[in-house]
Formats: sequence, structure tokens, C-alpha cells
Amino acid sequence: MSPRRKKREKQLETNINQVVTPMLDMTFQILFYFVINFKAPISEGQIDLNLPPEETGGTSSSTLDTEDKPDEYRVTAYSTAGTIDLLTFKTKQFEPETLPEKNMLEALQARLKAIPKPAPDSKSKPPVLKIECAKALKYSELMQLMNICREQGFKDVGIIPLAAVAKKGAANQ
Amino acid sequence: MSHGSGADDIPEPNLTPLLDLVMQLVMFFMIIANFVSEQLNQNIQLPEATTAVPIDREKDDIVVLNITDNGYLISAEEDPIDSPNKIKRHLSDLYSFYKDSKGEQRAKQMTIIIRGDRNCTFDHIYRVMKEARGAGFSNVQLRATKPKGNG
Repeated sequence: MSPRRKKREKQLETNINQVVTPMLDMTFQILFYFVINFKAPISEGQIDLNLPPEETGGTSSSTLDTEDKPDEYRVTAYSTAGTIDLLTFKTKQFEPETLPEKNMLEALQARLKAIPKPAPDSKSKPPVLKIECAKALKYSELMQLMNICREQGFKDVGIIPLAAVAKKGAANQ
Repeated sequence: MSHGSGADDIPEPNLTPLLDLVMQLVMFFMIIANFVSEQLNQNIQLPEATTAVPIDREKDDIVVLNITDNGYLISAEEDPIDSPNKIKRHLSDLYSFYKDSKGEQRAKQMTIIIRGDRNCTFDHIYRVMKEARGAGFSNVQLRATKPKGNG
């Protein structure tokens, strides 16, 4: 091989290497685009609800079998400005109990904890809890209530709007 | 130069490993970007829920409804819907669309995913649930963020 040919081949090799630069430029641009538009994915979770037929109203976090009615409890949250003003707890047999204003959530937690729940393998129906809430209640507050209820072993938590009459009654208290 | 093949040799940096690395970064960002669905509005600040379970990503028949702090409904690629009547119409249009394209049974089984802002009210959420039920949907899912250190 002549020295001139050798030199030309060497030059060609160098030229091939140089083609990488525009590609790298373009790749950097794409990388820059993705970095700018990148938003860290939020760790989201889901809470399933079943919508009951039109007549009954409210929602429930699991399906209910109507044959054998389980015990039903009701938590009512009154609100005018988004936060919980008043919280009442009602069992099937008794009148609604107004929970102490200072630590109403802790009081609710204690009441719910005291309710006996069937063992997971038991055939008896788990108790049902309904959260009745004022329309002005903030979604975050409602979620906090739902959390407390579900943490205390209530798998079937329903949400219903506070009836207009009940609202008037609360305003009088 | 005292060593090497000749004086006309220009030293060049080897760009190949750099290109490999950049390509890998591009791939990473492309894959991550793919996970964030267009339907999910990233401006919505979800409430926290310790009892929320991990998302079932295998579900295909879903409709995502984002609700802003002032109660506006944001559906995919559409302007915010502000009035209750428009929300009602939007949901019944959605149901009719899925009923025609997938059949009534599948349309009924579709899951409505509500991504409500933590500062919106129960009224805003309940209105959407009620209209979804009125339109014909029966499955609703609420979305919430899981507190850090809780999976």
C-alpha cells in the first residue's frame, strides 16, 4: 500500500468520526426537551366506590347485600367554611352523640375502635359506616374522615350529602 | 510530535461513550414521560389518604375527570367545564359515546376516576358522582396521594 493511499484512508476514518457531533447535538436537544418537561410522577393511590341505584343516594366503598342487613353507623360532619365545625356519631339504636369540639377526630377514632368487627374469615356481615357531610366541607377534610374510618377496620364506608333539614338543626345547636 | 504515525494526526476526543450516556438519559426520560398520562392533570393537588391502595394499571376502561379547587371539571383535551348543566351534558355525552363504541355492558362497567383537588368541596365531588350515576356509570374511583413512607 502506498503511503499516499494510507494517508487518504486515515483521513476518511477521521471524517467518519466527525459525523457523530451533529448527532450528539441533536441528542442533547432532545435530552434538554425531556428534562425541561419532566415532572416527577406523584405516588397516587385509589379508593374504589360503587354508585348505588338512583333512589338510595350516596356512595359506598363496596357492594352491599341487602338480604341480611349489617349494623349501620353514621358520622355526620357539619361545615360552613370548609373545615369541620361539628361532628356527630350515631349508632343504630341511639340518638346522635356530639363529639367534643377540641379533639373530635380522636374521639371519633376511639368510638370507631370500640365497635366490634367480625373476623376476616367470619360469615357475618361487617358493619357499615356512612359519612354524612355538609356540601361546604373540603374534600381533604372528607378524605381525612374516610381515612380514620377505614383505618379502624370499616371497609364499607359510604358518603352521603347532609340533608337540608339536618343542616338547619345543626345551625340551631 | 515525537511519537505516533505522523505530524498531521489531530487528537480527537472519543465521543461514543458520551453519546451512549446521553442516549440512555433520553431513553430514561422518554419512558418516564410515557407513564404520565395526558388525562392526568398535574396541577391538581390531590388530598392525602393513608388507606388508598396502589393503582390497578391493568384497567383499560377508564375515564379520568379532574376537578379543580373551584369545582371546574377538566376532562382530557377539553376546556374546563364550569356549570352543573354542562357537567351533566358532558357525562351523558361520554356515556353515549362509550355505549355506542363499546356496547352498553362495557359502558356501564367503565370506571370513572375522580381526581379532585384537596381544596374543592364535597359538593363539587358529589355533583360529579351524582351526574355520573345519572348518566349510567356505576363504578367510581377516587384518587389521592399516598403520604411519604407509606408505599
